[in-house]
Amino acid sequence: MKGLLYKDFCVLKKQVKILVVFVLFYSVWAVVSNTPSMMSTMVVLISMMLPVSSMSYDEGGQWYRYAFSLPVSRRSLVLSKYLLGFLTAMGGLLVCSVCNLIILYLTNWENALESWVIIGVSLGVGVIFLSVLIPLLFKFGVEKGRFILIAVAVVPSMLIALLMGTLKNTGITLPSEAFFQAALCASPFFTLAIFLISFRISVGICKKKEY
Amino acid sequence: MDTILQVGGLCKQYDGFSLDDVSFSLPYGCIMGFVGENGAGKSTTVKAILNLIRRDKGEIQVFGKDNIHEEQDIKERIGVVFDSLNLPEMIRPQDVGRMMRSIYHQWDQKKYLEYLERFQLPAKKIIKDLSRGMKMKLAIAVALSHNAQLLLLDEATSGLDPIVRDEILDILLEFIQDASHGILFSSHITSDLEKIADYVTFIHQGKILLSEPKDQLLEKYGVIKCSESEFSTLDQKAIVGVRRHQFGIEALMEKEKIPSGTYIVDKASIEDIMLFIARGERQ
Repeated sequence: MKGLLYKDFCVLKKQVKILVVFVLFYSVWAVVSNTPSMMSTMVVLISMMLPVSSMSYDEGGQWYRYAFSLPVSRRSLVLSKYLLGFLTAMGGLLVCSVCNLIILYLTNWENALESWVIIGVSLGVGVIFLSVLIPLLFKFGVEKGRFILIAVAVVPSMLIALLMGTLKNTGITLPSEAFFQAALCASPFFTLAIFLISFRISVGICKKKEY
Repeated sequence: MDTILQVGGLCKQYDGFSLDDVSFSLPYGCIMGFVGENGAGKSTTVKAILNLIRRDKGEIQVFGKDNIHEEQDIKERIGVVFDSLNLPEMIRPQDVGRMMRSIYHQWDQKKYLEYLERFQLPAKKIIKDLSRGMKMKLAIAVALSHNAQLLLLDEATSGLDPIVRDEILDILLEFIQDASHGILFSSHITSDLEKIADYVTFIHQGKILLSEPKDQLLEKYGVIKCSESEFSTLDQKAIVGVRRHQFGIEALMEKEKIPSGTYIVDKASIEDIMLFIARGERQ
């Protein structure tokens, strides 16, 4: 496991460097323009991009067939990708939080709660996105997975837009604020559950697959 | 004799190709050349041994253990080299060492560094910048640095120049000095096998046609040239393959069954045997 993660970090080293520059740029921008939401979007991007690009490197170099001829079980390889996703998400969260603290300090802790909620929600969306994407990448490979990625991103947003439209037309009112607050509190557990279920599904896919 | 690798009745069905009842066994202390044309089923067999693909039928035992039930334990003790180095291009040989240290329980870093030095592999250059020969040597260095007992080489020398190939063959011969080791060496470069193999197994269109000690095989078969009418008088059961051309017939057959004194019998090389089997008409 440690070996696999070490390999992923070696492979992603260059990308991480580029990303750090990006993140620095956006953090300065976020601080200067007082828009922390920019940062949280970055968290989502980073936590998603790294595991996906590590998987695309793996596939391109036929790494899987080699990895599975080493004493590496399919479960531990899958686990290493989820751990990588978790670690990058945490890294993103850290950078984001530091930035947010600076912004909050500069703006006299204005809208503090809201900014944390935005960060949390972005992170959650990123994790859910990864949870949907990783099993698809294991199943279909990165090449086909790219198109599925678009579907994964576009279809839910369209559905939500449609749903909202229909709701307006039918005159059903949106749930109360209390409901949303409760949903928000429950969301970390919900996200974690999805992440774990996704892991189980990926292990199942990987065990069945032939390399 | 104890076998380090035993494949029995292996079947695997694909669209347009199938492995059909593949069986052979490799004794300890021996090198088996696994020969066949491209697409004959060599890699599929190796993949089945490594449990990279699911077999439909059959049994595979490595070190006397089932390759599925004791997969991880077996993989600790085998070294695998594919036709290309499947390590990420962006990392360096020294990273590979650090990585393998936490993958193999028995990883021997000192040995690995010795191999890097011996193969003149730069530890700090990224893999992308290594030549093909260097990449294959790196793959072999990894395969030899965790006290593996069985080496599985799948087309490991294809695409390499004769000098590098020869170096690799020397390393394999060194490895096999230990009687508790074994090598399955799949290749279509028959001259390599002629140099080092103790056993030769021929696979053609997913079926094993021959699996015998090399010397016995080379001793057993000969190539004769004859005319169509002479050919009809030969013992057809002893003929393995036939090639007809303008000036007559060439046939690969068991030497013992060739009527003495009548024909000129040429020695059959592994390549001859492979060609007769793969391209010749079968009797």
